[in-house]
Amino acid sequence: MSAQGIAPLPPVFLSRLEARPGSPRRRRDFLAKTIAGFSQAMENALLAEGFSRRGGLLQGLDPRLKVAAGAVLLVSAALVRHPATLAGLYVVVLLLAAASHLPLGWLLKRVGVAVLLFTGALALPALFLTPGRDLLSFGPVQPAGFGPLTLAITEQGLRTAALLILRASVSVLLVTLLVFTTPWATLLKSLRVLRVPQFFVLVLSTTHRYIFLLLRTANDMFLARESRRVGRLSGTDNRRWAARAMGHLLVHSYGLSEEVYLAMLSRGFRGEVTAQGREAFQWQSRDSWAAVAALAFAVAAVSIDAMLGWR
Amino acid sequence: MHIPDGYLSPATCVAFYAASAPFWYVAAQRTKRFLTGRMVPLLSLLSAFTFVIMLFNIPLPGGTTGHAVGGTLLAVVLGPWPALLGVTVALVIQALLFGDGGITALGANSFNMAIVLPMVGYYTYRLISRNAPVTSSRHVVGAAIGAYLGLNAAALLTALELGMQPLLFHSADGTPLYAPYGLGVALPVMMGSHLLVAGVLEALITGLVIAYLQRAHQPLLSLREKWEGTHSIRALWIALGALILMAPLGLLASGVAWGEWSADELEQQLGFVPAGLAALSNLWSAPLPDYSIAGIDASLGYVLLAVVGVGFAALITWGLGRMLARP
Repeated sequence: MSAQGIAPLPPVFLSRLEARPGSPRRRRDFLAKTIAGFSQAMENALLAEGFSRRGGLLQGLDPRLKVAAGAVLLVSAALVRHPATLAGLYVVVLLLAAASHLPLGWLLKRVGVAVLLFTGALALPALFLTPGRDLLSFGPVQPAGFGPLTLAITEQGLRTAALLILRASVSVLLVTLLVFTTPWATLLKSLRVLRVPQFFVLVLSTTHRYIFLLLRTANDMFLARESRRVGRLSGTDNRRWAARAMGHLLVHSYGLSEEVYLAMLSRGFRGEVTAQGREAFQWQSRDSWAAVAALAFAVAAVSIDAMLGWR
Repeated sequence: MHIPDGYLSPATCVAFYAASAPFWYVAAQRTKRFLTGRMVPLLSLLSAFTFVIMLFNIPLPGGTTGHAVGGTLLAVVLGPWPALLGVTVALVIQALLFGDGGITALGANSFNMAIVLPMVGYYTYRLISRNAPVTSSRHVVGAAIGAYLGLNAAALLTALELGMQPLLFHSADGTPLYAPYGLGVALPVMMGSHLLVAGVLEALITGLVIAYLQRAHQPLLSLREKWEGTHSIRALWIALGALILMAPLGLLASGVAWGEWSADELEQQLGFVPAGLAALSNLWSAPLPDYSIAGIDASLGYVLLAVVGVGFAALITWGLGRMLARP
């Protein structure tokens, strides 16, 4: 999608609504939070489109190859069992990102923070809860009402936490790398390599297009609400308003789908779905080399992992 | 509830892709039949709608916010099959473009949120709102209860999928290779938050949206019947049958569900039985204790008892429906 067709992002001051005078430390309410979420979603998609047009290593490869190689590498990241193998995969993916002119600091912050916030928090108790050999013990402590407790980080706990965090990071990095080095429309067309039906690809591309329109509509509703508000509303009123906004958006989406259908009919649509905008993919010799490299790398990762042991 | 990559073993991922595939196929066939050319624009707009409403922050009591999934809402308005496809497409875009939910876990996420959630939500709604006029409050109540049950069914499946990982996939020294927590942790954590908070939010929002549509846009509420005609609830029985066959999965769990200890089990854990509990524990003795029938294989016993349990529940719901349907 071109940048011209997209609504301008809401001005920056609107996503900083919590900083209004008179309420210095008020928690961001749902309107501000939602508006910020909308801008972030749009920003994310725009960034992806921008990066995918830079001239780097992965941007120059055939998208069909990237989809297939991405799938193979995702599967090998799921198969390996040693944290060291996953750490190796992590480094290689970062090198690929650097070779594709993606800003590494930004990528690490984006992927690292997201994974640590969610998976890290989730993996933390596993350090103590996984039964196994004790590495480091704290205690015994005696909380009120309980007997003496000893907390211990186990070897197995440490390893399972490392596996979970590394595996989640490598997988998210791989998908991010694929999406950020391939324009969305091209990426969808190349999904056909994985035998995804044409009909499904068409729905995916149309959905992507209308997400921006609906995001803009929803954003306008939230902005209008925010700009007309003077005091604070009760939770009940807010929930009622959010439900009305959602209901309205549903009615609007349905109406829009009817209009799109009529527009399609008036342009001669006969109910058959055919591939549109067939820009020919060009397979070049570097793609063959890249395919061999990706496959060899996946096989090497799985075999080295088997040699490292820990079956 | 979006499971990221790295939490499920490759075998689990393949199994759930295989389990979701027939539903995707049937949904595409059925939706094509009654929507014909309308299908592409309608599904696209629905998926975009689902995507956008998952970004809506809804205020919760206590100052925090949460978001709704909207699967039951779509199923109530458009029918379960278009809802299935709409939520699936939204999940694909979330996984690819926003890193929300994994690609290898897409089969499992679809199964939980795009298949089970709208199906359970929709058929619960149908049971409660059958033959009620468009403006009846039974539609609102039915959609709300459906949304609650649908979301919790999806949360239950997610907890089972995650909780089974350390049981089935660990290295020789006991290190869990994927999600590290067993059913004893995954079930109470997932179900606690969904039964008490997320489910209530989903029910509230779904009910409120249906009430809004009743006031502001009734034609949208009679859309589904126009497309589908009145059709039987056969699919409900097929889905229930599949769930019944999955009942012996419970045998994989070690120990007892948290908070469901019997007096004997409590004695083992605490060293004593609280006096009040000891006094009440023999108040009722179940006809078929511990879900087992003497002399029958444990798995078969589970299935048989699931049939009996579902039969009882169906009978009670049918009776309630008849009572409510009376003008």
